[in-house]
Amino acid sequence: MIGLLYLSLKHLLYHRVQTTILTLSIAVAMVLPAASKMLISRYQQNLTARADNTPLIAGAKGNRFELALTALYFRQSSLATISYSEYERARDKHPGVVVPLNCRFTARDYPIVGVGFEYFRERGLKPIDGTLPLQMGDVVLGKNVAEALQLRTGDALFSDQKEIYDISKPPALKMHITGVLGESRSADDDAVFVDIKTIWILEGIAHGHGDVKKIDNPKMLLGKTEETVVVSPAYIEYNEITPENIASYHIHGDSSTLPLTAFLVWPKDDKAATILKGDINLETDYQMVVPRAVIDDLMAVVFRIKTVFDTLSAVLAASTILLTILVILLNMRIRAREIETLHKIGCSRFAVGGLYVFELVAILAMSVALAALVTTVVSTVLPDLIRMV
Amino acid sequence: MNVVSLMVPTLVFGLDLGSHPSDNCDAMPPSSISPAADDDAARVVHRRSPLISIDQLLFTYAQVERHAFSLKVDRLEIGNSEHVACIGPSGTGKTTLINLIAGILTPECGRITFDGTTISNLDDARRRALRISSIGLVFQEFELLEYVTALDNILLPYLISDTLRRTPDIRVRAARLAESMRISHVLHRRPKRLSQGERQRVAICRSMITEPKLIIADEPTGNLDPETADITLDLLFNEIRKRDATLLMVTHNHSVLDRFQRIIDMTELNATCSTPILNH
Repeated sequence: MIGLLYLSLKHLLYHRVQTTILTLSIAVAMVLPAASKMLISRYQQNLTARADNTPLIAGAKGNRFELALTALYFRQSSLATISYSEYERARDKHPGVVVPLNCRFTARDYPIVGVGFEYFRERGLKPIDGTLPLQMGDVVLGKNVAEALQLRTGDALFSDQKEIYDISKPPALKMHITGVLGESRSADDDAVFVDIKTIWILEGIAHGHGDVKKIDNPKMLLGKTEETVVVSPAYIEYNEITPENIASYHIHGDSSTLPLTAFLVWPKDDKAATILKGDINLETDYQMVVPRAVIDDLMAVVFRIKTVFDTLSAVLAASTILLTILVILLNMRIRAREIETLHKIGCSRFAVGGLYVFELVAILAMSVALAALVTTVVSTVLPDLIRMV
Repeated sequence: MNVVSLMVPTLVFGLDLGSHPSDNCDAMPPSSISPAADDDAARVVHRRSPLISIDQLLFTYAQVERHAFSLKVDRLEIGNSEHVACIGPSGTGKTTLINLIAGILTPECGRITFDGTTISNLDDARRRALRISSIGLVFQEFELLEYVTALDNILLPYLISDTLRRTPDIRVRAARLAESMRISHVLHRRPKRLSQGERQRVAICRSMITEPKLIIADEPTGNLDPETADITLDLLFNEIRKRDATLLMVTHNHSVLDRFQRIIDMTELNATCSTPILNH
């Protein structure tokens, strides 16, 4: 028996290219369904866990999937904004926690998420270093962002400027990193968080600049009355908020029109949630969605796709089995003379069969081992894969 | 039986000595003694009797393209330690005869006895077991496994069979054989990296590793140049003599016949060879 095993392994080693190709083919046929099942299962877990942690989301009318995914995962979207006053109305009228959210800007391609302070409490986010953003211009980094950009508390992070050649738009804002959040294994790890007022500076609605009464250059001064001074858009605004200039920051216009991507609601109880949904969906021109319901609908689509994928995997597995049988038959044909010699020498029929069986078992064992290894690696890096998805 | 042959891995075959279909062939005269008695008698006598004994053998190949082939041997004996050449034109049944003696083929009728055991009465598994332990085969095309080394090829019978007992001295025996066949320096090479002569010497070592009583060689020098063939035969005969083994060799090369003690001419032995069944 050991001799047959030895010969089988020697044969496989001698034909190592063919062995490798066959092993890989079988391993791929095993990995695909296993990995896809694991991926979808983990994807579903992550999505539903975050959705369950966010009872209600209010945002502009339109695609509810887009609203839910934008508010939960900070995806850049073309979603219309809602006004700050809507948030204030919900906050004042309904019991529970209501958190404003704006994620329309980025810093080095990571989303800048403007939120209220309550957001950190509701998500269970705590800094492992430094503090949460306490004032305008402060930023706290998600764990992955800090690692990827190699930034830490005390460093600075510039926002990405959307319109580089439009001098009327606000310049990139230099933000001070006040802390780094602990790992949450969620989208929060891949975002940077600022106070909602900082977002309005990025929007160009709020800004700070020097005393306009002291402008010497007449080209910068477009108009002046006893009550107001109109300065040119070319007049340089501050691009960093410091203790010295923070007092100069101000908002032009009505604060109730300030834009939000959405606001998140953690209602006091189910009754409050029902009343809030009814109130907003019936009496306002924006929508309130239940993220879990949206995610369930989304997963239903994913599962339909998975059924197709499973069918394809089954076809792939069947074709791999047929090809493996073909390879074995061809191999038997190629080795016919060798087998005849073994028979002539006195090798038993059982032993000749054993040679083939050992080889097949060895290839299957290697394929299973490889498939298990790949599946393990996939499961290890799965959170990253899910972020890519 | 000499000392060397006592070292041969021994097998005890079940004494399934009931009548075999081939014993009762219509063309053959009925045995005068019962099969069991016959076998017992053979066991008593075989120590002094020939190593191989063939009686009233008839073998027919299935019809192939309008030709049938049959081999009929009334009586043939090959003695212990005898060196016998088997000659004859192609199609006279040389290879068929050695395949029958080796138990690779089974006769329709008649009896083949090897060292007291009636091969034609054994089932396939027992014939294989007998072959691997007591008969060494050398082929014209060497028939080495390309994916293992020369040493592993020599040890092949022990790798493919549980019938043979693996003892620690097998490798030593293989090394000694290789040394006597002058291939010690190539033991760890694969056949692809060996010359034709070296390959055939590896094949000869393989046939002798179990220390069989009988070596059957089917045109072993057919693929070798004359000089290499001579060297190979010298080494083969030396080794056979050392072991006191019996050699049955099929050959077309009449220049080597003086090395043998006896020559079997198949045209004389087999009167029924290559019979066309349709007239052209």
